[in-house]
Amino acid sequence: MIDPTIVGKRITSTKPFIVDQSAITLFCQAIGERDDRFAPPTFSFTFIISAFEESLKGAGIDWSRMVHGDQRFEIREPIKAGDILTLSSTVESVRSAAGNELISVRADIEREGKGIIQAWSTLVVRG
Amino acid sequence: MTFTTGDILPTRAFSIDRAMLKAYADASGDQNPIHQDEAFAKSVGLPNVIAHGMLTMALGGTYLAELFGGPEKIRKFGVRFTKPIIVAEGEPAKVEFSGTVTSIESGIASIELTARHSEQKVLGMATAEIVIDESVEK
Repeated sequence: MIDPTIVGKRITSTKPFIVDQSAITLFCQAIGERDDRFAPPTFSFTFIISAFEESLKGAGIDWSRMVHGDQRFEIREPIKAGDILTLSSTVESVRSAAGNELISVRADIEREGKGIIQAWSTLVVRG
Repeated sequence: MTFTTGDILPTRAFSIDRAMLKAYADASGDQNPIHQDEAFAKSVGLPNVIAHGMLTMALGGTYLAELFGGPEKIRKFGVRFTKPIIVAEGEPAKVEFSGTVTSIESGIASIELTARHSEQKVLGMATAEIVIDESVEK
């Protein structure tokens, strides 16, 4: 049973991080994308997931039973090399369905105080 | 290229092999052994190593970016992970993408994306919104 009091918990990255061209290029190469002028639309998940893990720490989750249920991005402006980003992560809901526990989490990515990307994930802990 | 509501997008297949899973693990930081270690994958009840769901989604992004003129055109992108793609050693798995333009409004095309592997859909509710005309974008 996941601790329901984590709903609403929000964590913001303590220091901004800088996006490196080499990280974008490596990601593009791995997914067959030849255009590395901007980060691909799913690139941000590479750092979002660790924020989610941080948000869900201590909530009694068995990570070995965790699967990714769904994923959604809204991108106002794409990430590019040299961007200085901050990230916050919010636990939106926890619920049970068909013997599994479903956790909905949202990430908000800002560049110089402006929100550029929001991402929503449903993480499923198999029962 | 111009797009109209109802257009069927050309299909494109990607081949996912173990080397691609390793490359994606390194590029994304997702080193979960179910995506690389056959013995481990089998020990947790999987038939073999499976591809990262986020890799399949990313390939869908590559597919759309090429058709619509670049990754920066994609403004919304969502999928449900419905079936894992099994990747046995020496047996690359083929995933084939296709899509339909469901509407065009204010310079944004809405797309329904299909990803198939072994005759089965591996993504559900896969949709994207893509800028096709910057001049009318709000």
